[in-house]
Amino acid sequence: MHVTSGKERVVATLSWSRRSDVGAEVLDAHRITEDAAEAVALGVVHAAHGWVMLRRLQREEYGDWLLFDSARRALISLEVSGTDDGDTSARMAVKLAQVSMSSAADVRAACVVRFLEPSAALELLPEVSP
Amino acid sequence: MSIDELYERVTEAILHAEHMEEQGASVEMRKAFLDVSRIEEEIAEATPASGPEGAVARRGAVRAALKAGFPIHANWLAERYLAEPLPSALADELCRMKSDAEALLADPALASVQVVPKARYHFHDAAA
Repeated sequence: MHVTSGKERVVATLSWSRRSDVGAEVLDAHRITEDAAEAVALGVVHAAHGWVMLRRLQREEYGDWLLFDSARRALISLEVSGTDDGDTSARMAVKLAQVSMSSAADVRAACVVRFLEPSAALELLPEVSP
Repeated sequence: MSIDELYERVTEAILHAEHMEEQGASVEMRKAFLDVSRIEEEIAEATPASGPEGAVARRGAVRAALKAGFPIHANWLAERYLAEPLPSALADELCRMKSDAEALLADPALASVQVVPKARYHFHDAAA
C-alpha cells in the first residue's frame, strides 16, 4: 500500500487475520469500505505519528475520531474517508474542509484510503493558535 | 469507571446510534442516542469544561438527548452546563442547543398523546 503523510511517501505492508466469509453476501459494501478505511487510517496515523485513539466523535463534531499525540501532549481531530471513486486529492480537499470546522482539537487531520489501487494519504491542517 | 473505559463505551454507543440513524428514525435509534447522552454525561463529570474533551462531552450529552427525543432532559443538561464557567464558544453552542430544546418543548404536537384506535373485534366479520 502506498502511504503519503504530508510530503513523505512510503510503501507499507498491511496484514490482517483472515476471517470467515460466511454471510459475506449480506454485508453492505459501502459500510465495509468505511470500516476498513477507518482501520487502515488509525493504523497509519499510529505508525506515522504515534497517535493513539481516545474516542469516537459524534457526526456533528466534524471529525470521526479524537486522538492523542503523547509526544506533543496534543489532541487531534481526525476525519477519515474510504473511497474507490473519483480523485483522491479532491476527496482530501473536501475532508480537510470538513475537519477544519472541528473545534474538538487544535490539531486537525484527514486521511483518505483507497482499496482498488491500495493507498492511504494523510494531511494535517495548520494548527489553530491558542 | 476510568475515562478510558468511558471512551470505549461512548465509541461503541456512538457507532451503534449512528448506524441506527442510517436505518431511519425508530424507538431503537432513540434509545441508542439516550445511551450516548448518558455516557457523555459521565464523561462530562470526569472532564473539566475548560478543556476540549470536556467541551466535546458537554455538547455531546445535550445533542444526543435532543436526538433521543428528550428535549426536557436536553434543556436541563444545557442549563446545568451553562451554570459552569465555560469558554465562550462552548457557551454559545450550548445556548443554541438549549434554544432547539425549548423550540421542541413549545411544539404542541410533542405535548399531545397520539391515540391509535385498534378494533379488537370486527362486527362485519362476526355477522357474516
